[in-house]
Amino acid sequence: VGPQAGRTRAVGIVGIERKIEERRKETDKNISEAFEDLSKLMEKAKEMVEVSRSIANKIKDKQGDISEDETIRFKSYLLSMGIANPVTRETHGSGTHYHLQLAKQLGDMLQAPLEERGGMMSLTEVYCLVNRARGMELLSPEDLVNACKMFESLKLPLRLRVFDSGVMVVQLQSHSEEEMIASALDSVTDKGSLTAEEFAKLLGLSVLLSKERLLLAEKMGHLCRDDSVEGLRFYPNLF
Amino acid sequence: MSFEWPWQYSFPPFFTLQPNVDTRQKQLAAWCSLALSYCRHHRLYTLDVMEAQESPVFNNKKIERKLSMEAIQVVFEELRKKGNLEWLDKNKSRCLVMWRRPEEW
Repeated sequence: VGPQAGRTRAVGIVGIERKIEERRKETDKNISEAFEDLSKLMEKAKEMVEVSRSIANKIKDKQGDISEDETIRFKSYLLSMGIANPVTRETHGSGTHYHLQLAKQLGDMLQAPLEERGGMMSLTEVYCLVNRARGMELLSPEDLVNACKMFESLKLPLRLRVFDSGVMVVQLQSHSEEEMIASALDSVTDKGSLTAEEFAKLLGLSVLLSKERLLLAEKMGHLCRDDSVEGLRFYPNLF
Repeated sequence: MSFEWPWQYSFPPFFTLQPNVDTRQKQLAAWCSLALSYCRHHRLYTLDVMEAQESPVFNNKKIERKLSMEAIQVVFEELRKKGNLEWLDKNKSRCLVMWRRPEEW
């Protein structure tokens, strides 16, 4: 046999085992190579982070006037690297250029669906709607929130609103709060008492939003609650 | 002569402590006057907190609502602030109910 002994020849079980072993070594090598490249890439990114941090410090010295061109460019750099750094960035330019454009686009896009739904949508609903329509180049949740935060400064007819519970909604600027509360009070008085679910069905709203409305009306003193095993019911405030 | 319940007694939200500050104040005031008039009508001088929850004042069987333990404590505390109630022990489990405040006697 001689020199052939060192080489793998598929003979019997030993041969099969050897083949498997060889394949394993191959994949091992591939994996470790991939990780090596990854860590090299990360090292590069780390340098970028260092640099951006030092730039942030420099900007701090200059103290923010209204959105300077430099900070805007800096923000889009940070964004492309995926470093969100709001604490030090907030005072130096209100947001990114990208978010500004996005806000404008959202403004056009959301007008009709909002009107259809009675002037208010929860942010998760908006997120679904926008991303489903896009298909590619989807928005991240942060992008959406950041864009929505700029509605008001852009004088768009939309508004981002945060309820006490932390639920965020987008509403039309024309959407009036008093009207909303008054309508809630009307329907509750009409039915004697309502849970959020019943109210949602009545108005064709989502349960989440209908609950916020009822809570708002309660906060303004128009409604009061009855919390029992039957559920949380709202009554007209007779007190 | 039977005891006359106030209208709030058959109003379910009366048995849930209201989160709205203004509403809660009105609610507590109604509770205080109800508790006092109930005690006066039945000539009760002392109340046990545990027993109070089962007594008809805080437990309306007809509409199946019952004031929670914490809420009863709040009502009692409110009564104490008004001078109509005094605790008999440190655990606040028994109390003396005064239909009239000491000053009025």
